[in-house]
Amino acid sequence: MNKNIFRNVFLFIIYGLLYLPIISMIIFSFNSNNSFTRFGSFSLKWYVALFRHEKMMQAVLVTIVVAIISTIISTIIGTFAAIALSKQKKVLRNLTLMANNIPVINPEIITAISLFVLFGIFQIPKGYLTMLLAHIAFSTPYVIITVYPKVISLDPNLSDAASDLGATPFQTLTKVILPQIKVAIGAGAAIAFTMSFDDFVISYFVTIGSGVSNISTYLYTLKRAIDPKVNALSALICLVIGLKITYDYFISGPKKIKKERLKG
Amino acid sequence: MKRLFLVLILFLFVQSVVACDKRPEVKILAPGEYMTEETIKAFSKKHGIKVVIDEFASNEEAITFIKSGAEYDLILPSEYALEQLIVENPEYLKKVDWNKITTFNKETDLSNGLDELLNNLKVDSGFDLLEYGVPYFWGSVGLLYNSEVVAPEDVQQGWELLRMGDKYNVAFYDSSRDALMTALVTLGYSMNTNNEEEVNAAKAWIEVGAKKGVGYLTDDIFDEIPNKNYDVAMAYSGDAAEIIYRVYDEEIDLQLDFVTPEVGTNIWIDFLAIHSSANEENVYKFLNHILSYDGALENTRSLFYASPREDVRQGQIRTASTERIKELYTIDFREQDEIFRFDPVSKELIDNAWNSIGVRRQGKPINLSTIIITVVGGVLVVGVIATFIIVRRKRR
Amino acid sequence: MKKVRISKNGGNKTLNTILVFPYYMILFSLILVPIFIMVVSSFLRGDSNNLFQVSLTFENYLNFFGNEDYLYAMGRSIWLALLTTISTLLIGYPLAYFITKTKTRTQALLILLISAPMWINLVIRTIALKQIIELIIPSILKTNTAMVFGLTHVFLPFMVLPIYTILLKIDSNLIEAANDLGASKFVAFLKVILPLSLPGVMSGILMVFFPAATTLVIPKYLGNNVFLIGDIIERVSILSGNIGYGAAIAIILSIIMMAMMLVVKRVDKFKGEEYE
Repeated sequence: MNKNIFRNVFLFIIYGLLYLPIISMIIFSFNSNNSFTRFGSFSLKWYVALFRHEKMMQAVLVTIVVAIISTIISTIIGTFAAIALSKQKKVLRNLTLMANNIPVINPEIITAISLFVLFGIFQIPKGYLTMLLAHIAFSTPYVIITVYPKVISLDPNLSDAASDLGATPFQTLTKVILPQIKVAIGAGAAIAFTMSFDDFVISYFVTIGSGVSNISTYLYTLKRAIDPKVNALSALICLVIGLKITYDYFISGPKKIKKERLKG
Repeated sequence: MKRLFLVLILFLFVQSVVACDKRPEVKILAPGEYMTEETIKAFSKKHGIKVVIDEFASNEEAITFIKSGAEYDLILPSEYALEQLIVENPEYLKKVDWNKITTFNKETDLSNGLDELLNNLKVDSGFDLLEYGVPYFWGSVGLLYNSEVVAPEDVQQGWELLRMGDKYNVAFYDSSRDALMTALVTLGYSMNTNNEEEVNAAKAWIEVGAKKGVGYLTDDIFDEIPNKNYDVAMAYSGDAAEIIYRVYDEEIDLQLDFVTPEVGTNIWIDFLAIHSSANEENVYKFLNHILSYDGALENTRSLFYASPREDVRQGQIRTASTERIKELYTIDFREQDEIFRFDPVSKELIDNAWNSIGVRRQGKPINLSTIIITVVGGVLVVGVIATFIIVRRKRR
Repeated sequence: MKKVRISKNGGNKTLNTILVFPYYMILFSLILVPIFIMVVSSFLRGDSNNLFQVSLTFENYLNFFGNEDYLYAMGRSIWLALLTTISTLLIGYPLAYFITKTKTRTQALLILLISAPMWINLVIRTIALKQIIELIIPSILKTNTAMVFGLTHVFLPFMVLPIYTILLKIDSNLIEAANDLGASKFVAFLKVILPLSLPGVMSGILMVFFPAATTLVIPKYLGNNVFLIGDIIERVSILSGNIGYGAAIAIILSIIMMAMMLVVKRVDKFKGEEYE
């Protein structure tokens, strides 16, 4: 009994501390004045201001569009690569997997600088294109990490049965393999999307000097420390994430524990 | 098949977002929020040319962009940065053909003080910045302070005020040149010195102050001062005017004052310069607009820097909301003031000194009472939660 | 890992090549080549006039090790990262452990709650942290303490998840066996659970330490905009335009981290073997 009390108190405090900044931010997004220490009265004016603010909305748009496109591309490329890798000779496969891990293990700033240098040397103008390329570059490895384990755990007999029954390799791919790894692909896509949506360091270095910014880089350059529109934006993002969590918890339940483990 | 369709749609969507505007455009590399929407809109409306601004956070950054080959029509550097480009990379610039400037006469229309400044520069160093640049905003650097908190005798100390971190909440401007300038000038040296000993002395001067607790501000000054987070801050004259105006306009209970220390300060001039890859026709249309009375006037709608046009500047003085703001439109170039010059040796010494200070930044020394309050507070919170849970369990 | 293939006959080679080609293009051009270029440029002398000039030299590396201030920055970054790692460990391990002790349904919820913040932008979370600190203990702002607090806050989930994952995998029979053999609960924990959970701990440490050491955002909002090593790299590469120098510093950082990773892997192996 004692142990349980201690455990619950601990959990309560830590989770509380963890969410305190977020909750405070949400509360103050409804503040009528623009202070973060004194609450005036309830007001939605910052939400209105947020939607009116062209640059911020543009940043949101860029973030979403880049996230969607880079997720689609990296998921497709990564999934295909994972499947192809599983059929390769051991040496090449292991080498590729090792190389694949480089951007995953590297601190972001190193990936960021290497891409900065690359785009500089080949005189590629920084902007949408470079951001998209960069996001694809760092998302694809994560897709492979997620999908590959599932691919190699598949039962080879099913594919063999398919080709015995006359299926072309393409048909085997689309009708046998892909459906089986659907869940892993979904998980990979989710990770790719999150990594792209949240990205700061890499996006910052590859769009420096261009007018293009995503949410993170825009907020960063907005050195104006206090802008309650930021709170409004964050509250909205939290709302979306909150909905996702609720969906995960109530609809899917314990299955999600496994998904989080892969994400970890 | 459905999925492919979706991808295609998204692709087209992106294309449309990216290639939105096919109008001709003028691309300007400029500091953020340094040109009013009003003047930009006026220009676009009149000429049907779009204005795109790529922002930079510091002159050093701008120079890096330019040197890496990025293309613009116009750039908006400070005087020393323009000088650096002229000296090191003139291939990125085009000289200004003043014959094509019809809305502004550089002999007669320049603001009082600015004409002398530029002339002196030309005479002293043979350097005529007007060959490559069109003057934009100009001003001085000083101390913006809360006159109810800061004692007058301390204000008299000039830049020394920045070393009173134990008495007040003070902030430097987070830029190597501006910060080292305060030290060099107080110690009696030139702010353009390339003497290593002098720079080291300046660095030591700052470090003494830093130990007592110092903040570093850039654009966040616009919020930190009205929120009374700082009592004293280094500020550009135009920024100070804007902040004072905002405090006045929003009726914030705060008495602000601005002073340019007696020991001397930096006077700065920003220029619009023509990039080598510029579309000249559009560029001169823009320059004529921004230098015209109306264009320059529109540019002062929400910006409070001194205009390069004397007639517009007089207008700024006339329509100033308070005495203090009015004074900030008159830039006094005294004997002890200086303009920054480009000197690679000086630049490196100053940047290194600033780096050295920068890596060692600390917050204000935490005092005992804060620690006690934090610990007591924490214990209380834990205790309350624990009690709550225990009581709830006992009730079951 | 079993050598399981999709199909016994290795599949169609042409299809395979088509499938894997786009990936290899990306791997090569966007991952390997940039890193190669970065390594090469670290041996080039950086000149103010021309960003990319050719003359091989160790200058950049020597300059860094001779630069007292940059070494200080690296030291401070590593120190902060160390403090962060320790505090996330001290909080994260018990947290993960307690979570495993709750009901399955609760576990799912708790894990979701702990990973949810990871989906919010880092910049936004840092701004939120700044606001709350300003509200509650404003005098901490701009100090190392605030930065460590912020870093711990941000990286806690990265430590909790791997540890939780591995704690789940520990066979409860082992614990039962230990208890049957007379070990008290505490001893069982120390001698059975802790060692078996080490791979997860190592994983967590790696995921916290490296990003914490190179953080760009936290010092700007929570610290006094102090120049840490991530900042220095940014300044040197972008503000001063000396890409070679920036690349060299980044590489030195990578080498230090790779060394640490090897040490960690060694410890892991060692511990693993002991209890095989």
